[in-house]
Amino acid sequence: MIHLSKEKTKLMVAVHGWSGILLGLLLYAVVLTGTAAVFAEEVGIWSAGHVRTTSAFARPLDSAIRDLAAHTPERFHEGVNLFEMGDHDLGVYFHRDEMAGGRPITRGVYYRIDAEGRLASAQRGTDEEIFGPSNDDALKTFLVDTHVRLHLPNPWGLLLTGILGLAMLVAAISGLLIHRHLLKDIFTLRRSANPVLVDRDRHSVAGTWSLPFAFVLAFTGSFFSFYGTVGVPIVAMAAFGGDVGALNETVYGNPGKADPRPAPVGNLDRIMADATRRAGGVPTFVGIEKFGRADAEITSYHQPAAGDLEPATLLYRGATGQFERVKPAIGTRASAGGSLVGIMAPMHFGNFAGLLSKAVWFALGFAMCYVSLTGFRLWLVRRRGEARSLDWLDRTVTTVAVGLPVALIASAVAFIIAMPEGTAVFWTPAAFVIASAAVIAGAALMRSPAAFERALWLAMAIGMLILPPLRLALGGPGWAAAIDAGQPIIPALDLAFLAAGGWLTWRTKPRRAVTSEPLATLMPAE
Amino acid sequence: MSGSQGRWARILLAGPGAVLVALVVMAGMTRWVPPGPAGIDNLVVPLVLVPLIWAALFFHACLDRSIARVAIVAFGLLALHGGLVAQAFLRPSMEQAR
Amino acid sequence: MLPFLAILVSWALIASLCAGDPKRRRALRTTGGQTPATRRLIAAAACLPGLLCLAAGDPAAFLIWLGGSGLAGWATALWFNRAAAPR
Repeated sequence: MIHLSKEKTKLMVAVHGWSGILLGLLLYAVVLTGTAAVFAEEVGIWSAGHVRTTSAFARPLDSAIRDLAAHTPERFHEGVNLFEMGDHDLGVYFHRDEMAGGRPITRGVYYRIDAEGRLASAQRGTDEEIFGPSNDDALKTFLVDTHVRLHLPNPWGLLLTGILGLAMLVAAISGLLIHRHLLKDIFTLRRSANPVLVDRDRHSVAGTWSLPFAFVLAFTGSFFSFYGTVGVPIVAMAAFGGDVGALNETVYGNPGKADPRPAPVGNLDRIMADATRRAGGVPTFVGIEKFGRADAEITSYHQPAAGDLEPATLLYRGATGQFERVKPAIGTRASAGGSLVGIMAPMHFGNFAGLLSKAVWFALGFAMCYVSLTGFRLWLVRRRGEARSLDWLDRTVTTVAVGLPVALIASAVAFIIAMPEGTAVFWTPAAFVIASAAVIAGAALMRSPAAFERALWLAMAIGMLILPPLRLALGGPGWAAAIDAGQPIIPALDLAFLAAGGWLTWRTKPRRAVTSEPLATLMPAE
Repeated sequence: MSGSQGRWARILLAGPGAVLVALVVMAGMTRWVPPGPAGIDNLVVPLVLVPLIWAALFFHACLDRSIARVAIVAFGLLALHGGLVAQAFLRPSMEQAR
Repeated sequence: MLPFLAILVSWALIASLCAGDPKRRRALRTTGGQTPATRRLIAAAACLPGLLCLAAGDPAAFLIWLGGSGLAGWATALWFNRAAAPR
C-alpha cells in the first residue's frame, strides 16, 4: 500500500516488533481489562444483584438535599455534585476546591441516600480519600482501575498506561507502513502453510480489519492518561502562569456576574423533571455551583440524544430554577475545541448508543487482544529455529494471555462470595493476586507447555460455568425476579457466562498431535 | 557524521527528543491557536493533539533519510514554540518594569 | 435501525469481495476471482452505507457501522478460510 525503501521497511518492522515485545504484555492487560470494562456498569449490576431500574434523579430529592445542606458546613457549599451510586442510590458530595502539593483536589462531605430516602452513609475528606471502591461495586471498580492505571498509584499508573497507548499508536501506524499489500491480503488466511505464514496471516488480517479502531482507541486512551498528569499542568503553565484552577474555570466554568447574596436554591425536583423532559432522559450527573447564593448555577448532564456522540448538557439558574440554555459539555459556547474534547470519551468508551455501541466496542477490544497475541506468536515462531532460550518467553505469553482472564474470573468469584459478607473490597483484588500467583506457579512447575495452556483454558471454562449458579446460590436475584423488575442484564450475563464456559470446555478437549513443518525464509518486510 | 553517530542522533531525536519537542509545541500552541467562540480552543486543541504531534515527530525521525533535516525540524519547532512561551512569561515582567 | 441496516448491506458486499478474492482463491488452489475493476466497484459500494449515515447527520450510526463492518470483514475472512487443516 505504502511503498517504503527496503531499509526503512526493515526499520519499521523492528519498531513494530520490538515495541510490541517490550510493552505488548502490559498493553494486552490494558486492552483486555478495557474490553471487560466496556460492560463495567452491566457487570456491576449483575455481580451485585442490582434490580432497581428507577433512576435516583427520577425520585424526589429536593428536601433531602436541603436537609443535608443545613447539616453541612457552609465552606463546603462551593459545589455540590449529585450522581448515582450502587443500586440507584443517590450520592451527594458537598465540596470545595483546594490545592495539595501543587495538585488540584476537592475536600468535603459525601452522603449516600438509599432508594427509600434514608441516609445510608456520610464521609468527610478529600476526593481521593472518599471515592474508593465500595462493597457492592468492588468488582466494577477493580476492572476499571486495572485498565486505567494498572493499580499503580497516581501519576505513575496513568503515565504507564499513557505510554502503552502511544506504543499501540506506533504499532498501528508502523503496521500500516510495513504491510505492502494490506488490501490484497485482507481475506487470506492460509491454514496449510508453515506456522510463520499462518501466524502472519492471522495477525495481519485481524489487525487490518481493526486498524481504524486501534488508532482511535490508542489516541483517545493516551489522551485520557496524559491529560491530567502532563497536559493540564503544562498548558496551565503556558497560558495561566501555572494556575490550574484558572484553566479549569475557563474550560469548565460558567462565568457570570458574581452575586454572593444568600438565596435558597430553586426546587430541585422541578429542575430534574424539566431537564428529563428537555433531554429525553434522566440526568447522569448534576453539578450545583455556589450552592445557596444568588449566582448559583445548576448543570445537568445527560446521555447523548439518538444519533449524537456528545452528552447533552443543560444549564439552570440555581436560585430561581429557571432554564437558561443548552450548553456544550466543554466551554460556555459551541466550539471546535469543545466538540473535539467532547467526543473523546464516547469514542473511547463506546457508550454513546447503549448496548449496541458497547457490543461493537467489546468485540473490537477482543479483536485487538487477538492481534496482540498473534503478534507475539509470530515474533516467537519466527525465532523458534534460532534460539531455544525463548521458551521462557513463550510460556510467559501463555501465562499472561490466558492467565489474566483466569485471574479476573477468580476475582469475580471472590466478589460474589465476599459481597454478602461485606468484605468484597478486600477479597476481590486479593483473589486476583492469589489466582495470578497460582498461574505463575503453574507456569514454573508444569513441564509441558501444552498441558499448562490447556489447564488454564479449562480453569477459565470452569470459572465461567460456576459464576451463575454461585451467584444464585448466594442469594442473587433469580431470572424471573430480574426480568419482572425490568433488569434483563442479570439473566443475559448469566447466559453469556454459561455459553462461553460451555464453548471453552468443548474447545479444550484433546486434539490430535500435529507435526511441525520447516520454517520458510521470510522477506525482511515480514 | 559517522554511521553509528547518525544512528544515535536518530535514536535521541525519535526518543527523548520527540517527547520534549511535542510537549513544548503543546505549550507553544496555546499562544497561536485561535481561542474560538468559547475562548478555549487554544487550551484544549493542543491537549488533544499532543499524542499525534509526538507520533508525527517519532515517525519523521525514523523515516526521513536526512538526519540533518530531522534535527532542523525538531530544533526549529522547539525554538519557535519555546520562544512563544518565553515571550508570554517575559511580557508581564516587561510591563511591570515600565 | 440505521446502523444495523448499514452493517448488513456492507457485510453482504464484503462477503462478495471475500468470495471472489483472487489471492484467497490462489492460496486455496482454486482459480477464478473478480477483476480489479469489479472489486473496486464492490468496495466503493460497501463504503456507501457509512457515507449515507454521515450524510443523514448520524455520527453515532457511522461509528457503529465502521466498527461493525470491520468485525464483519474479519468474521467473513475467518468463515471463508475455515478448513480442517493441520496447524
